[in-house]
Amino acid sequence: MQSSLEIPVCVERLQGVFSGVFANLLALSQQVDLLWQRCAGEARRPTSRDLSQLRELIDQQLLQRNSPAYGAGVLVEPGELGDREMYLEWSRLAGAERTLPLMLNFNQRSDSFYNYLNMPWYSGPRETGNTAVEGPYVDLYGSDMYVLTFTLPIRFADRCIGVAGADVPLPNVERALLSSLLRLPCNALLVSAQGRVIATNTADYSAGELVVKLRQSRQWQAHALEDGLQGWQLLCEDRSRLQSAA
Amino acid sequence: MNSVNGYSTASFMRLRQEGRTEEVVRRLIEVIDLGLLSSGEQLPSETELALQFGVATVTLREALAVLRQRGFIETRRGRNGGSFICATAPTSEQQLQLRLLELSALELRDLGDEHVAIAGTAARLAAQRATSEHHQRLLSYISALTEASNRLERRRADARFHIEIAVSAQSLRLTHSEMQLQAEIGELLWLDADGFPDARAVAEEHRGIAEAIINGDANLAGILAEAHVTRAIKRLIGLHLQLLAQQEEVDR
Repeated sequence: MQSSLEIPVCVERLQGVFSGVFANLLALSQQVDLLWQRCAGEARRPTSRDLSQLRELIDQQLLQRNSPAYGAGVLVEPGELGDREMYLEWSRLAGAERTLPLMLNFNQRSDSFYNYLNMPWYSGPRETGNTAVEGPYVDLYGSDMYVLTFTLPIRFADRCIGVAGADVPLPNVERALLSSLLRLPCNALLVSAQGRVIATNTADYSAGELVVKLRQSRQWQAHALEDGLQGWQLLCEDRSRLQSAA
Repeated sequence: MNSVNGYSTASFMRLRQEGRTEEVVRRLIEVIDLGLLSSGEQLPSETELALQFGVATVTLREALAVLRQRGFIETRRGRNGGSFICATAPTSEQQLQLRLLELSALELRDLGDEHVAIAGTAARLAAQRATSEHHQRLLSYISALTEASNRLERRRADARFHIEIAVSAQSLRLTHSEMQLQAEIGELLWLDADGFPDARAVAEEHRGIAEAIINGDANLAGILAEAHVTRAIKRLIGLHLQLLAQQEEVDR
């Protein structure tokens, strides 16, 4: 049997599962920044055509071996592009070796108008200036999977010009999360900022469940995660407190 | 020894009739029907759609041909060509009645049984797993229902409310099942017949379910959702029998 993990080591490994996702978002936002700089140098506003230059990097990221993301790209703030009010450059996987650009309906009068400005994974990072993780949630309109959405605000000349994002289906990271959680000597839950279980090493709880009350229980000790995963916690059961709680 | 073994093996080994083409057709109709793709919108290219569904291009072409024939899409040739979603022609009262008549009472009962299972479980789980964002969306679909001005809008708001409950339950499978059930019977529920409730009455029932979910009362949410679905199916079976009786009368 493998030796058990210390809690801080486990926290670090859990963070490590997502570090590649954040590194990719950063690379995307840097390329957008370069693009905006170049257009500023040419005294013009960027267009959707300029944005399409990102496709190569996005594809490369999605097709990377071991990348857990299913879709990734950039969404821009209204008024930033010369030719479009709202726009995104977003691709998703289609099989092991192909990606497809995502087309969405930005016709505001349409029923299916896709208004990302109101989505928490867009408005959140825009307002706080920080990374955001949304979910897990059932993504009915995009990937048709149970996903986590990671986003990073893109700043240029002191304003937010958009958001870089990636959708990571929970099943794609479950194995990696469990391999760390299973080596803890106690029952443990990885919980989102909303209090939703992301992964757990005990069958007494399950992913998707809300465990807001556990966070206040003395029987469960909370350990905060960092590195873009603000608000996430590793909850470890302290069995010695079981009696006193009962 | 009796023949139970032989019989059960045979019946369990019978496959569902639905093939790849039918499955693609069904999924696309669900999406168009519920307004997730709206009229005038262009479908992705055949190659892209085939990749997305994980089917051969031939299969996808067959599916598009079925959709074209049934009036869901139209295909334009030329440089700006492609397949476009057609405006959903409002189904006439008569067409709906005919569809209801063609279903058997047994089929309706079985559909109802499945819907009770899905809607009840989804509502119970939603009461445990929904957060305030889900609550807001549930309430917004209730307002959409009260404000709807025609059957298509009422039917969509109704379907979206039920699908959102399954989404709140955090279950992909329940969400898929609810979408399929809504595509199958959703429109029939809005027949304009004697004893069928108006949008306001249905919205009141939805409000009851939503409140139980918001209060985290899983049992109440489940019971209300089950009763809501049971009542709807009972109305459909009632109307089906009534239409059947009228037909018998004519035939005699």
